[in-house]
Parts: sequence; structure tokens; C-alpha cells
Amino acid sequence: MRRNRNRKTNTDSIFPLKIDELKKIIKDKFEKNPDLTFNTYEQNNKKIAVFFISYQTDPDKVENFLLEPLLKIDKEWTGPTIKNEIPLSPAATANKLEDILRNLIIGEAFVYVEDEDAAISYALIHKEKRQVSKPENETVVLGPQIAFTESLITNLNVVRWSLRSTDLVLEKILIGKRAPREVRLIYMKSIANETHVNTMRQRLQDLDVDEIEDSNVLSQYIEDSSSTIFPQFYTTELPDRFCYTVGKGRIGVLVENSPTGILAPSTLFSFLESTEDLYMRWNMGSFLRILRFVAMFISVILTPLYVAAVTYHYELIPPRELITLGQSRAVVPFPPIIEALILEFLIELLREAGARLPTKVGQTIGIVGGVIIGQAVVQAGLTSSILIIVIAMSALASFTAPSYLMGTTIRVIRFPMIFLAGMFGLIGIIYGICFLIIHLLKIKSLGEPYLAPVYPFRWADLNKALYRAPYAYQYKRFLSFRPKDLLRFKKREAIKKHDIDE
Amino acid sequence: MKNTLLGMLVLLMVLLTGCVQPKPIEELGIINTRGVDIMENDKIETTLVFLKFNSRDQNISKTITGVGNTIKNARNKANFKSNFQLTPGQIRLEIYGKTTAEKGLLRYLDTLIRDARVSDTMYLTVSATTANEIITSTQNQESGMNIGKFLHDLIERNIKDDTIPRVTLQDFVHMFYDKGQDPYLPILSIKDDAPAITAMAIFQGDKLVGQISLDETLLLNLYNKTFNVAPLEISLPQKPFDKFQRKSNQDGHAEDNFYIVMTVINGESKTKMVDVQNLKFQTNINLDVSLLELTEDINIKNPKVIKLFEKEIEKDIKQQYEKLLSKLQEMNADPFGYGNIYRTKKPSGNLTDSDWRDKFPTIKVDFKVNVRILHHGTTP
Amino acid sequence: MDVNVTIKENIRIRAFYLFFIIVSIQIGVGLLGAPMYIFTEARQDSWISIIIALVYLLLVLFVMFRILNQYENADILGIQVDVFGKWIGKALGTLYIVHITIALLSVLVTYIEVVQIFIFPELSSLIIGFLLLSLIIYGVLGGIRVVIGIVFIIFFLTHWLLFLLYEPVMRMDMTHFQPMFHASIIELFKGAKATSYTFMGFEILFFLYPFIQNKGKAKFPVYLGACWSAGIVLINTVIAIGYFSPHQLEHLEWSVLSLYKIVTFPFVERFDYIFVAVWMMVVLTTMMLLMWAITYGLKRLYKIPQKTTLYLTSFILLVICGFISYHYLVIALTDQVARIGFWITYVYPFLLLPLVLLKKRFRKNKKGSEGK
Repeated sequence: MRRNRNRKTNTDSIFPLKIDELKKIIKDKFEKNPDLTFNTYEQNNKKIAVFFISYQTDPDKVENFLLEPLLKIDKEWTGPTIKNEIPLSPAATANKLEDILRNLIIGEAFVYVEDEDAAISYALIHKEKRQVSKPENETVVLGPQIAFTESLITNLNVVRWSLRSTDLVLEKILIGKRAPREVRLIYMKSIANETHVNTMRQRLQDLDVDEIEDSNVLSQYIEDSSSTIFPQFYTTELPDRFCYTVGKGRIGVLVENSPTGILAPSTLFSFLESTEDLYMRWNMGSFLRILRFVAMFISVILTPLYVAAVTYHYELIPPRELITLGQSRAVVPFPPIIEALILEFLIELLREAGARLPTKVGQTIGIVGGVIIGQAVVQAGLTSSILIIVIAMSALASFTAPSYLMGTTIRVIRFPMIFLAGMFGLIGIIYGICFLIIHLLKIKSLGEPYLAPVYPFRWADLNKALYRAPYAYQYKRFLSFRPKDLLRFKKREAIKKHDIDE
Repeated sequence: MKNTLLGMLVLLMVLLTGCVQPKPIEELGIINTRGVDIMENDKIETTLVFLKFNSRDQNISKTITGVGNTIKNARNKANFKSNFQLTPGQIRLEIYGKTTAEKGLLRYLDTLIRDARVSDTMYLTVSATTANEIITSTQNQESGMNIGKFLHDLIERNIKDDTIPRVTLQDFVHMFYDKGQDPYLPILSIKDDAPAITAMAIFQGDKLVGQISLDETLLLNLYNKTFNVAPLEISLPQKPFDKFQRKSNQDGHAEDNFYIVMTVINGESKTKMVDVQNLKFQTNINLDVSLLELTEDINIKNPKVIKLFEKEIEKDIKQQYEKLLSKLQEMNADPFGYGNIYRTKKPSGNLTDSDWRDKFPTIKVDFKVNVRILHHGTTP
Repeated sequence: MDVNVTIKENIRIRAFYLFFIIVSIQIGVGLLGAPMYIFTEARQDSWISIIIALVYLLLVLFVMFRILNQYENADILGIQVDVFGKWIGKALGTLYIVHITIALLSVLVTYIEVVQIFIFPELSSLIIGFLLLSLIIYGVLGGIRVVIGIVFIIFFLTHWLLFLLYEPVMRMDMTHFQPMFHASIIELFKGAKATSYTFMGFEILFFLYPFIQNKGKAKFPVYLGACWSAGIVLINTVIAIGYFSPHQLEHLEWSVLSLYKIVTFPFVERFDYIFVAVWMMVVLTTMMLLMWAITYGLKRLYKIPQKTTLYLTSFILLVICGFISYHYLVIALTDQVARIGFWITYVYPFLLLPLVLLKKRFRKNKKGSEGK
């Protein structure tokens, strides 16, 4: 009677029960699943069950630290004694079936003594993981040559070592109804803007999905606008970039089993900013950053300009170029817009083929595409040789974007621009540019304007977005995102100007 | 959703129907040079040099003629003879026949100014005979030569060298509409089977009235703009330099004059009106020159010699200017633009054409030339 | 309707943006033709006319600020209702918005004409109109903050065009300015009046004022903006006078555009084409601000949703600009806008100010007597 009442008050608990019953329950859940190891031992007339999934646990640890003491020590085992005597930590107790099943899957080993109130579990997790390696997608010349791996633990470890501060918060959120996955919300609690943290937390917690595949997928679930072509969160595989950004007051998100971290809020300019700018001296860093802006502009504008000039505005072309351009155009049977589209398409094919194929073959594709096909296309009279140069230049320019996502965006934008140029000439190009400006102004990243600090205009932030000032002058954090603590350090004496011979 | 779909549909329709007629360059005959001649029956004959782009043919320039009542009409007539659409957007040079220029250029300028497609930087020239002759002069020679480009570069180089004044459409129109100044254009004629600049045509209003030599053109140019590097050749009398001659001429003094060539490093002029009532002007011309070549061996180490040189050169240039002015006064054309200065001095600020035509022949100008020889090369 | 408006914190704007707003709305299609109109009146002393116009402009702005500062957070529509009562106030407000709509139309039509003359003679007005209006709709849908963002960014994207004027500057003829101080006072004032179409548009301040975050700092950017745009008009006029001969300039419709005809670069032969295309951005900012004022004004007056007005106005404008294709119609429209606009923007504030002050005193007295 009393037991019954007990059971009623604690409805979810399946214990106490006989080992056989337990075995049946567990085995039922793992139907047709040969991986569950369920061993029963008898020690001092007490039945003890030890069960785990063999490849999810570390077999050495199970044998040496769990089974050996358990069977060697001659004792009457009960729950508390096991906890005390077995030289493993930490021991957890579980009495709900869901808990047991969930932890079983991620590699905990369970010990249950017959008729006890709870099972004891040890996290003897065995997780296969890749060693940290060099970054593949965001390569840098200077700076740490390390990339995130698929293991969240490793990633957290790397992040913690970079930001050794008690300020660093790593909130744990589980996302996914059917197959939950651990997601960490990472920020500096004394710097990060409260609103950003709350918004991000809210978005993560409110996510009602069955599962998330990757952090890139997650970032698409939580971004502000899904209709735009522009990425709104920076996804990086570089721990130094991740830590730098988090350290300056933004928010990072790491997802289990994903080698990329999400950074939010991001601006358009952060996509064109490489960590290398920071490691370079400020003048070179500024130069490279401005170079990238110019490259993006060229990439979007160059082919459409060619199309517009050749289709409508022959007056624009200087006399000398006119002859070269005209002669190379004369052989081509298509209108300029078709010509440009064919070649752009070809370049995109090459890029995609190069990315899909194994590295060694991929390089060959580059040579085959660049040299042989390019040559053949011109000789066959399908495109003009000038256009080859134009397209190659704009493709090259688009590859300078540090973020692969942004590079792709830029390349895709080119197609509507070519169409507009082919239809309305210069007017079409300007139309496209105006449309882009308006569009960019409307985009928000985590509720913050995408074009900050240019609009809304913040003079103090320009040195972090458009160019790079010497570090002595970068004593403020990013004002546009209103961090809790604006000043990084006191305006140093170094800034003070000295007179000659002082 | 329905709205967006509808919007997309409208957009698509507009875009599909709204395309502008494309003009890809390979389908165009891009006119590069245009010659305008007036014919006896008052019709206009245009000679067009245009670029056509053809994969097979190396010779991209072609010449075509058309006759019509207006320039546009003549072009359309010419277009019947060509499989390319002739377009005026890249005209770099326009040549007028001599008789055409004498009858007045105003009617041809109108089409150039009105058409927004036509460039303001094109050059205008006058042919010593007919425009057609200049353009077709080289046709029998080298087949690959692009006559339009050749003529354009010929004029451009001379302008860059400061040997002739700038003669773009804009300059001509500007001078033409300024009441106190008359325009000028270079004259092309055929020398040794090839076109060359031989003189400068002086206009009275839009009508050609006379011409001045290229040496005189240099003076005109020196008056109108600031010089940087331009060669200047002057003949000086031998006599004053006799005593500085390094080795006496064995043959005796065969010639009375000798020549010196110098580069004008910096030349500028300033004109002011000293007496409004009597139409008296004073023009100061300052020249910083560097000696390049002497036909006589004279020792110029001596500062006195330099001073002497300067004085003689000044005298000579002053004379040349006075000669040029009287020549122009005879033509009653004022390319110097003294009328502009006169206008600014008039209380009403207005100057009518006829007013200045009456007054220009009577103006007096005091040319003050100031020459400084800064360098004389490596040999003293 | 309430006289004062409460604006949500997140759509307020900082005062310094007013500089860009004033410049953008004043510099538009008006500038392209301005030198000719001013020159016909004041000849070589046109620059004095522009300075006179600027002084008057500053005076009007000062009066506008006086009017606005009498209220807590009001715009012109609210003030008119307060001063004239509900019916007359609303009627005047409607008139104001009609004026803005016609101004918007004239800008649209003029730019379409410029494109047709300089780039695409065969492109139909409907399509250029459609392109422009689609951008306007897209921009205004983003609200005032997006509109101001566009104004701000385009300011920087277009001002480099001024540097290209060095080429015509080199070819200026200084004798065109002499004899100086030749024009009579009447001519100078006529010249100043000729700038009215160019400088029009600053009445947007009457609508935008409640949106300003820090009103204490609003004056300086506005005055500076007026000076800046007057400076641009001045520069262009002076260069045009020096560059063209007087007779030529009198008959040159788009003189500023013609200035760019001689600008060439090794990589671009003709800059006037680029100029016309880039000018689309400049015109766009003007039109967006006007369009925003229309939608916002109608919402204030009649509570019509801004989206409805936006789509409807755009549609009507598109239809109209399809019909206006004769040059003389465009000119007539511009003249009409200039004439009516002159009274509404340059004279009306002077009439309104005493009324506003009277009303305020009256209200104070009433309060005072009630207090006793």
C-alpha cells in the first residue's frame, strides 16, 4: 500500500523492479538493436545489472574502473555504496526511463542493483572526433592555424583557452524535438548587449523543429529575414575570429557536431573583414580591407558595364578600346547579354565542379577550365576575348570575400545585374545599385541594422568597419551595437602628441 | 501571396515589352570622321569615314558618301549604301570644305549642338579644297590605314604640342557665340600625297575670311593660352652679334640673318585696355625660353650677349605680332578676342556684332614682349 | 486629429541627418536647368542672385523653426488645424499635399525627359516611370528610417560628380563675368526668384520635425544644408556662365549636363551618359522624401493607411507620366509648380507665423484667466 502510494507520487520512476523486468523494458526499447550490452552479475546474492551501448562507451574504462571494482570487491552493493566505492566520477542517479534512455545513447554506463530506487550512471563517453586541424575554408596567412572541429567539447575547450575569463558565459540550450542537439550560447556577460542576448536566447528556445543539421542550418532558422540573399549571421570556422568577436561584445553560437560557429549580430562590413586585417599592421590592414570593398564593387559592376556599353552605349567606349572591342565582338554570333551569361555560367560551372571534386582533380579542373576552355571558346567565336578578361576579373574579385557565403551572394547578384544592363543599359545598372542599397538598408541582423555603422551613422565605429585604425586609437568597442561596457581601455598616453625633442 | 504573384506578373510583362532596341556595336557603322561639302546645287555632300567590325576583314575603316539637303538627310542617304547602321556618337573630327566654310558653318553647327549624342570634344577643321578630297587622299595608298584616326591624331598631337590652338567643337561654338571674338580652325591640305596641317583659317562669325600661316598661329596660340613646352623659331639679324662671333666666318657674311630655335618653357600673355575711347590696348607677353639651336656660333657665356639676344628676340616677336594684327584687321576678324575685353569696359556690358566689326579695324595694340632666356643648353 | 504627434522612439532620427535631407531634396532635377533660368534674368551677376536667394531661404527656414517651436511636437498639418480650425486646417493640409504630389510629378516627368533626350530616345516614359516608382515604393515601404538611410548613402555616392567639373573649370572664360554688378536690383531679384524651383522642397521640414530626436540641435544642420545646396547651385551656375558664351547659355536647356559633355577619361569617353544615369540616384532621393511626405500626410489628415496611399499615388503618377510626353507640357508643369510653390513655400510661412503667435497668446491669456 505504501509502495503503491509512493509509486503514485513519483509516477515517472520505474524503479524498484527486478533485473529481468528492467532488462525486458530496456531491450524492448532497443528492439532489433544488437548494440546494447546488458550484463547481469550476482554478488552476495544481489543481482547487479550493468548496461551500456558498447561503442558509445570507452571499453577500457568500463572494464577497468567499473566492472573490476564492482566484481572484485566483496561487498553487499547498494546504491550509496556503489557511489562511494567505485573510483569513478561523476556518478549520477536516474530513475526515469527517458533519462536512462537518453543518457544511454550518449554513452553512459548504468549500474542497477536489484530492488534499488534508482540506477547509477557513469559518463564513460566515447566520442570519435577529428583532431583540430588547419582551416580549409577561411584560410589566413597570419594568425592561429586552427579550425573548429565537429566536437563541441573540443570547441568549447579552444574557446575557453582563448577567453580565459569568468565573464564568459556558455549557456546550454537543447534544440530539436525528436533528436535534440546541444547548442551553446556564448557571450561576455559584462560586455554583451542584454537585448541581443535575450533576443538570441529567445529565438533559440522558441525554435520548434524536429532537429537541426548544422550551425549553418540553425543560422537560417534564426535569421531575421529569410527572403533576402544576404547572409545575416557570420559563420566561421576560425576560433580566433569567434573569440575576437565574442570578446568585443557580440554573441556566438556553437552547435554540437558542427565545425562552424555563428556570430551575431553581423554587419555587411564584417563579411568583408578578415582576421588577417587585425594581424597586419594597421595601414596594410586598411589597404586590404578597402581593396576588398573595391573588389566587391568591381565584381558586381564590371560585367554589367560591359554588357551595357556594348549593347547600348557605344559612345562611352574610348576610341582605342572601341576598335579592339568591336573586332572581338564581330565574331560573336550572340547579343552581348547572352554572351555574358554563357561565360558567367561557364565560370560558375567551373567553380562548382572544382568545389565538388577531390582536391587533386579540382586543381586540374581549374587549369582545364581556365586555359583550355577559355582559349577554345574564344577561338570558336562564342565569346569575345575582352569579355573573358572582364568575367575572369569579376570572378576573381568575388573570391576575395573572406566569407564564402558573401562571395557566393556577390556572384549571384551579378546575374540580375547583367539582365538589367542588357535591358536598360546604364539606367538598368543604376536601378540595380539603388535596389541593392534600399535592400541592404532594410536588412537587419539580430534586430540591428545591417549597414551599421554607415547607416545609422556612427563616426566612432568607422575605424572598425571601413578601415582599421592603429590599436591605440581603437579604445572603444562597437558603439552601434551598444555594448554594456563601451571602453576597451583608457585612451592611452601614447596618443598624446609630443613636441620635438621632448 | 496573391499580391506578390500579381506584382511579379506585371513586372515580367513590363520588362518583356519594355526592352530598348539594342544597338550592339558590331551592327553599327560608327562614324569616326565626317566631311561636309556643299555642292553646286546647294545640296550637302557628306563623306563619312566609319568603323565597321568584321571578323574576316582586317580593314575596319570604310569611306562612304551621301548627298542630301541636310546633314542628317545626307547621312541617311549614305546609309542606303551600307549594311551597317551609321551612328554619330563617336565622331571625332569634322572637316568642312573651303567653299562650305566660306558660306558659313552655322547651319551645320546646329545639328552638332542639338544632338545630345554628339561629343563636344570633337575637332573641327577646314579643308583647303574639299573635305572629300582630304578623306579620300590616302585611299589608294596603304590599305590598312585608318584615315579618320590619322587625321584626328594629327590634330591632337599638334594641339598637345601647343603648335596650334585647341579647336574642339566647344571651343568653336564658344568663340562663335562670344561677340567679341572670332573663331579659327586649322586647314588641312594635301602635301606629298598625304594630308597635313598647313595653315589656320580665320573666321568672321561663322564665315571663313582668310588664313594665317602656322608661324603666326603659334603667336595666336601664345596670346590665347598659357604655354608650357613649345618650340619657337626666330630669325635674327646677324649684325648686332658680330662681335660675339666666336670664329669669324671665313666666307664673309653671306647671310644677313641667322636662325635660333628655342623652347618656350613658360609663356603667358596679359591684355588690358588702356584707353577705352580711342580703343587702345596693351598686351604684355612674357616668355621664359631655353635656347636649343643657333645657326651661328656665338659665344653666349657673356651676360651681355644674353641681354642682347633677349632684346633682339623681343623686337622680332613684337614685329611679328604687329604684322599679324594688321593682317587680321584687314580681314576684319578678331581671333584674339580684343572685343571681349572691350565689352567688359563698356558700361552697358553689351557688344553687338556690327559694332565690333566697325571698331576692330581701328584698334591699336601696344605689344610688350618680355623674353627671359633661362637656359642655353650644355654648350656655352 | 491631434495637433501634436507622438513618435515612437525607434523611428526617431538624429538631427544631423537633416543636413542630408535638405541637400537631397533641394538638389534634384532643378539643378540641371537652373543656370539657364537664373542667367536669363540676372546675366553675369547671377551669383549675386543666388546669394540673395540663399539669404531669403535662411529667413524662411528661421520662420519655419519659429512656427514649429511654438508647439511641443507638431507638424504643419497639426498646426494648420490648430490655427484655422478643423475644416479649413484640413483643407489647407490637403492643398499642401496636392502641391507636394505635383512637385513629385514634375520631378519624375523632368527626369524621364532627360533620359529620353540624352540616353534612350526610344524608351517609353511608362517604363522609366515604372522603374523609378518601383524603387520609390520599395524604399518608402521601409519607412522613414530607410528613406533617410537612402538619402544619407546616396549623398556620398553622388557628390563625387562635382569633382569632375574641373575640366570645364579649366576652360572658363573670366571675361564672361565682366562688367560686374551690372544687373539692376529688380533683375537680381528676378534671378533669385528663378531659383525657387531648384531650392524648393525644404518644406519637408514641416513634416519631419516631430521625428527629430534632439530638436535643440536641429537648426544648424538645416541652415548648413541650405547653404550647401546653394553652394552647389552657385558653383554650377558660375561654371556654366564661364564655360558657355552668354548667347549659348540662354538657349541651353540642361546646361549642367552639357558641362559634363567634355569630361573624358582614358576609360570612359563620355561622362554625360554616366552623369544622367547616376543622377537617377539624386532624383530618387528627392522623390522618395516627397512620396513619404504624401503618404504620411494623408495618414495624418484622413487616417488612410500609408500603404494604400503609396500604391495608389504611384499608380496615378505612372498613368499621368505616360501621358505627358510633349516637351512643352513638361516645361509648363515645372513652371506651374514653381509659381504655386513659390507662394506655398516662400511666402506662406510668413503669413502663418503671426497667426500662430496670436493663437498662442490667446491661449495663454485664456489659461491665465482660468487660473485666476
